[in-house]
Amino acid sequence: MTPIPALFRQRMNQAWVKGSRYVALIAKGLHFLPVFLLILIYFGYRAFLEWLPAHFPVYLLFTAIFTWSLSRTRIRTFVQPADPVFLFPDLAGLKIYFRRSLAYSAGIQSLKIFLLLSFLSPLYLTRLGDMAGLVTSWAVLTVLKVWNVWIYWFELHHRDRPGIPRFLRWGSNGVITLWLFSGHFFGWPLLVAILWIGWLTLYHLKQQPPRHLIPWEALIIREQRTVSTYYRLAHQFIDVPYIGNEVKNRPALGFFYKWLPPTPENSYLYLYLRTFFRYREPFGVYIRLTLVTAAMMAFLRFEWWMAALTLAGGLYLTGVQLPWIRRIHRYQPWFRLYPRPVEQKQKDWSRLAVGLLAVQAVLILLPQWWLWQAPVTLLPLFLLLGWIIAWFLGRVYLPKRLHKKSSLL
Amino acid sequence: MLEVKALTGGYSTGQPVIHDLSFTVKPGEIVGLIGLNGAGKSTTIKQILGFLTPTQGEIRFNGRTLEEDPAAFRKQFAYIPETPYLYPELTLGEHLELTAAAYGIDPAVSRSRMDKLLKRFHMKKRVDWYPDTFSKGMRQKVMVLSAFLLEPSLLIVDEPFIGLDPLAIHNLLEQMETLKQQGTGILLSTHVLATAEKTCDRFVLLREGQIALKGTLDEMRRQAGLPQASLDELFIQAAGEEGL
Repeated sequence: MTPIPALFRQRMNQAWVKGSRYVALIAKGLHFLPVFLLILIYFGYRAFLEWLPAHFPVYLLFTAIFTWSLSRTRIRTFVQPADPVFLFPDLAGLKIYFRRSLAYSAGIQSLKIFLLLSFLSPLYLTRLGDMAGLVTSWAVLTVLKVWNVWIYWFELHHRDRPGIPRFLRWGSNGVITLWLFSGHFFGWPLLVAILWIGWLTLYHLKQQPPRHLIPWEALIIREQRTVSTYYRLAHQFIDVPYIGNEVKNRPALGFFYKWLPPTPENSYLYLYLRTFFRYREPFGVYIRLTLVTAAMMAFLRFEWWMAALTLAGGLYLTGVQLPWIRRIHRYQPWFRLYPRPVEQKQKDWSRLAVGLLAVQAVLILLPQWWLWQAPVTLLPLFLLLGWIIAWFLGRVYLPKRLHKKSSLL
Repeated sequence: MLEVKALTGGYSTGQPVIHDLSFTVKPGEIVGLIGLNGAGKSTTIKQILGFLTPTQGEIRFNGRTLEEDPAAFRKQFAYIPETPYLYPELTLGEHLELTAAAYGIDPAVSRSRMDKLLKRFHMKKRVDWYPDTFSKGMRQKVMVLSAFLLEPSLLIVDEPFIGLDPLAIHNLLEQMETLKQQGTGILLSTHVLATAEKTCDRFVLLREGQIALKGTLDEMRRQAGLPQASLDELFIQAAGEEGL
């Protein structure tokens, strides 16, 4: 049996191996897309730097970005639901396990800060300061990030009143980064920051619970959430067998499905509608892709054919997420036992998919004033195109893809 | 009537788990399906439900097989699985509403049945709750409520007592008895032999995928040559290491 202190390294290695396998699989399917994206980012970034007005408050942009990335802290523990039972007896081992987890998390999070700052360095060097300033900023941000990881660990122990400590941490990050990027940090603000951070740390140390109290539930939930995020990201490109997903009540959206009478002919649609509106995803993807596609069409003002391609791309990327709504139920015994014709499962899914994609086309196109104002109003034509694509994806293309993927459906 | 004739099957054609099973469940009777873990009870139930395809033999309900008309075949029975699988995105009320809709039960009838069942199983206050707030027993109750809502011709119940509180078990048994009086045939798979002995009219005792004993308690005593034996004793004799 692996001793508990060594277990962290073993789990970390397994996670990295698994992650790299997913990356390899995704890379295999993407062909030249990453290269294309990198070129696009490079030229886009250059164009952005040239376009950026001279009076634009770059220091505020940096403050917002780094307050967010410092405060949004994650601790990878690799804990598993059975750990509270099987690992609990070895408290000394667990102490080392979690110490390693904190060190690992601090390292990874600091690396993320480094990468983000490197990406933003051209903007920093043209607008905010020189190379020495950049290196100093990196050092300050790294120290702050490590501090955030440590304090976040304490916050996890006080889940009954998380609001105030979190507010203080976010506030501290905000003020310090503002000082740092406005160029006023190295003077009395540095002293104030050190005193304030020191006081906050002492406060948390004083409130520290006994060592045997491990917030297992919070750690397991966060670990599962992190793994689910990675799975969901991978699922955008390849089929991932298990994706954790949260259910949210969203009563405000009841309007969208409560109109449907619960009749035998609507049985599966009744279920699918709730699956779509109450699971975090693919509802979230639907909203995000609607906004991104609408924004791309509005701001980039393509040629009409480019706009049509963007619309088709947005609908397609949304459409490929929707089969999950049906797939998630495939092992539910009742779902397989309902005395309804087998083809109704597919028919009801198609009704939902066509409806959702058609509504998405409307949501993307209605705010496109340039389509209304063109010499000849193109909007009706684009709407018709959107609905045809919705119909094709929901009725023809995706059902075929679904059928190929699983005989259980 | 459910007729299982010379049924052989399992998870792969080369390795059958159950062998040559034949038994019936008549309207208005409760048949206990008992046996050790791995004896083939759940496999038998999965074959009846159509989750697995028999390699030999056939299953008929009121003269009809699943292949002849899957929707009509399934409409006649309800199933309470051992593990309470619920839809995380549906409330208790929506689970019941969906079940009623899928089985084509008139909304007025289903509402009246729902009210009675929710009250009987003390779940009325939880009608708008989501499954993640339910205990295991409550989750099991949702399965029980959905099955009873249908008032089916055949009820298939797989280990229903695990996780239920004593009052819920009492209500479940009472409700099963009411259905039985109405002419429902019930196939009950369980390990709780004391309850099975009191509740079931006949038994099918499985051992390593084959029928070791079947019939009423008296008939099984005769088959085993143990005229005074309780169901417990018959079970230990027939299902144990040595068998009969």
